[in-house]
Amino acid sequence: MGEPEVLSFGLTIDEEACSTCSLCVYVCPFEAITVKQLNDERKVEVDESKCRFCGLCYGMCPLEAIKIGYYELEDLVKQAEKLCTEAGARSLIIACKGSNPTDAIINGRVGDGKLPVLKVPCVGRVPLDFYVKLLADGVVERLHVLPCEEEFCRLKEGGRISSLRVDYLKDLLGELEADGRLLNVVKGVNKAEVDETKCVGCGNCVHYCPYEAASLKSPGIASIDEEKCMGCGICLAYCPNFAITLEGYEHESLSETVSKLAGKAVAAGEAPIAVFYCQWAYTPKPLKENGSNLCFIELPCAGRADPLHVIQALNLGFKGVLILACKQDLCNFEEAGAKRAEENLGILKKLLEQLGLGERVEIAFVSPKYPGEADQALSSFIGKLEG
Amino acid sequence: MIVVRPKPLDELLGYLRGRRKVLIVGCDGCTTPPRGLREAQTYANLLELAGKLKGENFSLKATTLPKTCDSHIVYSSLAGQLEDVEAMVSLACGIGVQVLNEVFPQIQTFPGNDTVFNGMQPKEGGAFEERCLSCGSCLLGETGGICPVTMCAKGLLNGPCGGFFEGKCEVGNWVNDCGWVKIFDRLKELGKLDIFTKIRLPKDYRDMQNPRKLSIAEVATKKAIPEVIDEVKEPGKRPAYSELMKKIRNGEFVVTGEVEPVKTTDLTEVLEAAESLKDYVTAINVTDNPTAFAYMNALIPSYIIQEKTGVEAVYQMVARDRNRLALVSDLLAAGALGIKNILALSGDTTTMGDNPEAKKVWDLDVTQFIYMISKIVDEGVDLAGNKIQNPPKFNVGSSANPCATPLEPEIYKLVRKQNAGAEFLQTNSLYDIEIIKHFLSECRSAGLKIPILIGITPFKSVKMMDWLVKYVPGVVVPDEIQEKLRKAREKSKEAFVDKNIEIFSELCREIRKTTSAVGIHMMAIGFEWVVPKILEEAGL
Repeated sequence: MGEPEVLSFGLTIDEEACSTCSLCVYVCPFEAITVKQLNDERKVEVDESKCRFCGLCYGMCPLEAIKIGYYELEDLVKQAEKLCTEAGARSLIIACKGSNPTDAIINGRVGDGKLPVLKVPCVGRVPLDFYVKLLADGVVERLHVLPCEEEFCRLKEGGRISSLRVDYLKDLLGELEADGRLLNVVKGVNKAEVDETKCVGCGNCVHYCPYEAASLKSPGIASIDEEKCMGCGICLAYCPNFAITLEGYEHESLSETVSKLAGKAVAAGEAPIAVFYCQWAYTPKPLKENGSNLCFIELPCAGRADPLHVIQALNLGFKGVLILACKQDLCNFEEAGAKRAEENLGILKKLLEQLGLGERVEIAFVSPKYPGEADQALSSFIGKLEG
Repeated sequence: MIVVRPKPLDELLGYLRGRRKVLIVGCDGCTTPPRGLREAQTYANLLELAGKLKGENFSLKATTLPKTCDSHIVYSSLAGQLEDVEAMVSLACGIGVQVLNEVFPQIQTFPGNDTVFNGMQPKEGGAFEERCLSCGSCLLGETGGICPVTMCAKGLLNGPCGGFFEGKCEVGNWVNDCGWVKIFDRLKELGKLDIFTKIRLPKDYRDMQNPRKLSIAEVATKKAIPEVIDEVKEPGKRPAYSELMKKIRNGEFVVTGEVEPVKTTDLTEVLEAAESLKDYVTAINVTDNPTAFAYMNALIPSYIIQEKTGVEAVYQMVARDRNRLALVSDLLAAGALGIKNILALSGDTTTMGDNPEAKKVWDLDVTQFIYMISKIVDEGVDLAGNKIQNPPKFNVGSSANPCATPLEPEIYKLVRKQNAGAEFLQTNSLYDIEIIKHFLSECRSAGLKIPILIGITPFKSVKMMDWLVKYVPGVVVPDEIQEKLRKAREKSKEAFVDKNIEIFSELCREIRKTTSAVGIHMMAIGFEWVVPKILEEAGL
């Protein structure tokens, strides 16, 4: 294997198409976009270091001048169509990953039976055209949009902008005398809660919460301030008695997922690899190639990566475990997630090294900002395991 | 919280070899980092995996206990879960492991952790810090809430020692705060500094007589902490028993030398060094396991130097290696052998020495040691009040570190040493006349009256000078001196020696002429032959 290919920034601006209208400048929550005046020319520039790849600019651009490496409109539409066809459904749920961990939970929130779900990292990046196209083409009759609550949006403005966009479309459809119920919006959050019957009062959650949302009151029962919690799940990885719940990411459900995946993969006779990934660092390819021995387990943040699940995976026959975390400065959780994941995994690695298994577990810091980076980390890890 | 560190897996596997049904028992009590159900499950998985690799067929289960240090709770929580269990691994502290073995003697329980200390977790996580040694007599009420037993690397009750610079402790390479500087600052803040020059009596170690037991009905009705006393030894009141003390009291400017017995039974070198010094010095210090290297007991060479060269010895004694029994023994032996001067010191900590694994003693700190010598000499009794027949007659000195920063706690401590009965001080090596003057004036204004000898160490080589300047915090060698010596060395070895003689004889003259120091303490180990030349040149 040669040197890994140097990856380029995934966001580009088609200068031919760009009218320098500056909508992207106003919408960017991270002040990464500016318009530069060069002599007589105006030019939109993106500061690569500030960009968090939320895609709001992409969703907002009226001229399709912004390209963001993945998530092209056509692909998105195709994917939605495929989901509906496969399910034989005329309704589709489009949900932000950030507050919607599993299809079952999502369907529960919508309450309209078992519908196909298209999960995206931030609904805010989905352009208006997408909804229009789906409804106009008659692929779906009814769309449920599940963004995060505005305050809960990890990309700051995604929740607000997706709601504005859908409201605008609703008005438009209303004027066209189309049924307003074509578009149903359910805003959501996913926050940690303490099971007081299980809490042992150790205070780890207080210590490790990046938002100071957890507190410990006498006589030694923790509580989590709903207002402050941002659902990173770091506290779950530190709770010694599994006393904290975060829908979809509890010890039991992740442990069960690991067991199930192991059962399938081991039965298939392959040497499987478990990949725990931060939902903000990576999105596995939706149209999964078959024959892959990779098992993906989504986490709200790499800080939720649990040494217990990693060791469980190894014990159940996984050949290796890779954690895909965000780069620390791009972590959506006060830069704590990647740091905690690295610390926690470092401790486990020291234990595994004593068994000669240190190489079986690795953490890689990747960003969707550099398309292909996660794949690069994956193939390098696979190569190492095989080597 | 009780802080624990996981044991190596090999050790655990060794304990569990050949057993099948093993229960990993977490603890939800004070064990930190938390070793509850999660950790028990992690270890169950880990050991199962390890077992597969090592050909062991473990069947592991995990459980946890609300606390493992209460036999009643342990029994009621666990009794139903032990069918067929062949061994247990406890993730509690050492207490938990013992309780499990006691409550369920039919099943052997092994420790999953090493129990490290009682500590706290700082706000910035990822580490724990020791805070309490369960000494049985809590001093925090009198030390501004800072524990000298754990926060001072030597556990001194009358600190600081001389080993601090910019408030940092020399033990552990200047990383930790000096606990006693912190106590000083805190007491200053609280307006309670008056306590700092008083002598705190030694600890009553019966408080720590293990195995300790405590009845639930026990309530303390009298103070158990070592008290501070108002007793103050008047400087100059003890008769001058030694030549050194007599000369100082007569107003003579005195010079003392120093020899260092090493790891040998051969005293030739030490005697040669003493011979070369004898015509130029009033007394010769004999070092006691300096920097915690295990060398010959300083008493023997002290005695032999006195016998063979006729020069008086200053028998150095560090409090690091001996408890109060051994210190009394050696003092009595020294008295019997005609030793007249004792230099009482704390001693560098064992971790800096050539047997860094050794236990440090410090049953007494240096203040308490001086106080004990005063009791023996002046009253003929030891610390416990036992009468000593024909008590020895010593004059007692100690050390001072003018380079310590902040200097204030050092000066306060020196006043305390004076109060305990120290009669003279020898400083560590100094090179800057301004530092010497500043130190002496600070001492005098703090009420320190006892005579002070300034330590002088000529440079054997440029390398030694560079090393001292670079690695020994607090050693200040003025640039001018460094440059002169460097230039001389570029010329020749002889020029370097000559320059040494010129610089240090000048420094000695300056000290004699312009300061209140009563003498010079020459420390030129392995370089003793230059001392006469410096002293001759200085007219001493």
